[in-house]
Amino acid sequence: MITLMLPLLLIKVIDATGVFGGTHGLPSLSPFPSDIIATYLAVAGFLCCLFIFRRVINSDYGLVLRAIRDDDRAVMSGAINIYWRKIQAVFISACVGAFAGALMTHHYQFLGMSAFAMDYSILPVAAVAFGGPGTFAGAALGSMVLVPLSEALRALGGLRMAIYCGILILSIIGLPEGIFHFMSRKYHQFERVVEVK
Amino acid sequence: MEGEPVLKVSHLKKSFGGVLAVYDVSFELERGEFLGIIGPNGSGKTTLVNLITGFVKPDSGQILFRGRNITGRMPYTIAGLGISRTFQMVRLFYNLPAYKNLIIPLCSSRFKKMRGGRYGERDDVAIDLLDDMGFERDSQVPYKVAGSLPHGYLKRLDLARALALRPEILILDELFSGMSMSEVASTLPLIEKFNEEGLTIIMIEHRLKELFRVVDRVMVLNFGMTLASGTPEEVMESEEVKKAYLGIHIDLD
Repeated sequence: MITLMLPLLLIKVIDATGVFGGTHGLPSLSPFPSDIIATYLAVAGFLCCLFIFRRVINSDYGLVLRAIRDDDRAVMSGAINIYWRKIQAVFISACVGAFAGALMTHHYQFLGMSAFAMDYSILPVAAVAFGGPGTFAGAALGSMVLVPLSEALRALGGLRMAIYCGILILSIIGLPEGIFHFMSRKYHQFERVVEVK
Repeated sequence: MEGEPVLKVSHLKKSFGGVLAVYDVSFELERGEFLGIIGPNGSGKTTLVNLITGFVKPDSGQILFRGRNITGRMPYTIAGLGISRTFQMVRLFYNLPAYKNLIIPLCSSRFKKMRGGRYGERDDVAIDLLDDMGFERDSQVPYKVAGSLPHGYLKRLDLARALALRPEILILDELFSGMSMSEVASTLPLIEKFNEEGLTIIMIEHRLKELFRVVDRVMVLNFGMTLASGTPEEVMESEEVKKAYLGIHIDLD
């Protein structure tokens, strides 16, 4: 919820105080030297984050974070300050989000209040819900489907968001567990020849 | 019985809506004492544990741990000070291997402090702890996914988790519920041994025979109030206790 409310708050703050160029935004930021560099930088950053996150989540520190998600009372009885750990988790994800945002603004060469629009804020949440919560691959998969989808629907103009939301609703009804969990379940249902020693 | 009490609970009250869960409960606990708390279902035993360990905030009253006021502190603060508990319904991470469940308390700052500022190799420490608890190191048991273990092992795993913090007070909330006779028989000596080594224990239990064998003192709760307190023999003599709780004669051999 906070993920969705915070942009609305920031829009009002920028509108009222006029920081970061107010309603006009910050135009003509320096672009990347070329599109190829921009693309590879984004992909490299993505893979790097995925690698680091995988290492973190499989460490003892990540174990505690996962445990807090599953059952915070059990973790509290282990003398662990769950709020401090949650703040750390938010900080880590905010770092990655800020890096992605920096890439995006330099690519668009513009930063303004439109970055706080609802379709941007909803995208991370939707990508996770669509791809499969609780897995890195799920979130990555979700955004790999949803971002191109939203770009492909751009041609439709005004109806774009409506169709986009319709697809999301259908996916939640049809695949409530997310694509990744669905695919991994199907994968385990294949009959395979297993050699018995 | 000399020195100040390690835990002092005075006039603790808690109500949920219109229900008085705990009403004016006071008791003191000496270092190394073994206190049993019994009472019918819904008499406020678990709420009392939740109040002491900070999971529920009291309406009024005071809890002093080694002379320090811990009333209404967060559960992790209280656990960090040295009061550990087990849960009536075990709260474990079933999709993790058994020994990984112990990693969580081993990540706490309390554990780091005890080890002189170093965490060390947590996996090894966890396996050691489980070995003491009857999960043989060389068997597959500590490495199995917790969800695949029998109930008795889960209870003991929860106990190991509580003990991993090396607490000063250990609160056992119906540890033996759902355990088989042989599992109880193998776990009871462990608890007695910890008590002999100086651990202060509060034990909530419905299995009276096992409880009376190990405790120094029993407190009986009914409708959130202290009905009786004393040695097991004294408590069993009390007519009120017989009426409220037992309704039957128990033979203490």
